[in-house]
Amino acid sequence: MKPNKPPKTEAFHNAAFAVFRKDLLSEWRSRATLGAVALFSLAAPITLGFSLARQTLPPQAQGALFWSVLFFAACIGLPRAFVKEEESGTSALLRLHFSADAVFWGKAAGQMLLLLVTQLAAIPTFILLMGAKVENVPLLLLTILLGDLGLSLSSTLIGAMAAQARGRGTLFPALAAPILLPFLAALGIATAIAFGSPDGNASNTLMVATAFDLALIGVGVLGFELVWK
Amino acid sequence: MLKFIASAWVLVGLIIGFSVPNAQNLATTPIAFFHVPLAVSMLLLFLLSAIWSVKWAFFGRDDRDDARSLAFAEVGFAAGLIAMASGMLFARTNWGAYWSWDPQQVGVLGTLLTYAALFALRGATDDEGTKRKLWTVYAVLGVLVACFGSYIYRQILPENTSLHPNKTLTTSTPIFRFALWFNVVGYAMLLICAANVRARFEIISNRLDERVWKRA
Amino acid sequence: MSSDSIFVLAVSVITLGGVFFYLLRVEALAKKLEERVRDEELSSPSAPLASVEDRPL
Repeated sequence: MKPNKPPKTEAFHNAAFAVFRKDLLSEWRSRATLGAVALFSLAAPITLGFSLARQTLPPQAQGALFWSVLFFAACIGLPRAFVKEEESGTSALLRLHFSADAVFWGKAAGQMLLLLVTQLAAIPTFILLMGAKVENVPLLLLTILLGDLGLSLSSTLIGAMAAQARGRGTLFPALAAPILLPFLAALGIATAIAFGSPDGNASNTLMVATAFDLALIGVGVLGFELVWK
Repeated sequence: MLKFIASAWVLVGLIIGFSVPNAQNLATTPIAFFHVPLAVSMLLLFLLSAIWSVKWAFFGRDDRDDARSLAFAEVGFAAGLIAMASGMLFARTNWGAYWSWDPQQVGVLGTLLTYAALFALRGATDDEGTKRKLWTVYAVLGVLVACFGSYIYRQILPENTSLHPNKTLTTSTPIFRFALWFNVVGYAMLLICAANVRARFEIISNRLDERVWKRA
Repeated sequence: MSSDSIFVLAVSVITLGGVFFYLLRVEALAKKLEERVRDEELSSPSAPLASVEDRPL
């Protein structure tokens, strides 16, 4: 099945890139996931804005809502990456052709790109509609980057798990939400600080988020092979 | 053998817990010697569950290890529920409300949600091998969440958000600390006994399933 | 120790006793089941006997 000798780094990069490119191309042909995620991340802040009806929320609440919206937007699109493979029966081919590591990194990179592209539209909309004042731009960007990294890694790992369970990916939000709870809490606090909240310690929350990303990388590298084969 | 030691230990622990003078401005101290040990045992059991599942995945693929992992997670889940319930009673007398969105309460709620999802995942997977593989990965993630919910979450929040006293297990008065740790050891042993019994049933169940498949 | 806490202590000790005896009972049940499964496997092995001995319950 899979070559037992450790893959050469160059070959590995090529393989991971090939998976990434394949995902990108098939996504670009239909643009189904991109559309769904982008529309949701626009619709969610608009819904929030409507139901809050001109109230200005404190930055603490804005930070928390920010990541809730991004998380649920991710929940709509990201599990598709593996459900698609299982449904069209291409997952067996992917298993045969590429090592688990290559699939993991390729898929994660694809998810990351998808998140970043959709957030280009979603984040400004959120900030405008919620009336948030961005007081610390570098902190916000760093938070978003760390958050997207965590979301893409966890959605690759958990998406592959959910796609193999009954109901094909419908389990994903139920599986991902509790795992990401600590992560989203830390990011929410960091974002609140970026929006001007006085309490909390930015470096602590960023440290927790980074630690969580590293833990996800560790579990992903060791565990994805188990989930995938 | 362990079950006799554990039961006697918990019995002594109960008596110690009731005879220690009230501390830390708590109205009902003895329940602390039940609530805290169960919370700590929950973490320990989840950790042991992850260790057994990793042993299954990377060291021998022995299905009995997987059964043990399931048993420890289940008993840990039960311990978490009891810790939460006793914590709510404790909170009612000390803070005036059963539930006050204390970070520690939210943390254990998140942990229990993670393990509920873990059991749901196991129930939703048909193939035995896949079921166990997915279980392993998710159980390891679950321990991360459990540690975060219990220890780290309150640290990143603004100070004094938590009603729980900080670092009770390491910095309270010696007599209080001794009583706490004594009870932690006792309840942990008792719960490990329970988990071992649960694991034996799971192993028997696996064996019987196998035989049905082979006959068919 | 007030009479209230003695009452609570008594209830806790009784509960602990209950848990202990239940644990004993369930463990005996597990042992009985294990023996029955083993007897069954030895009397009508669906797998070769060697593998039954290889894998203790």
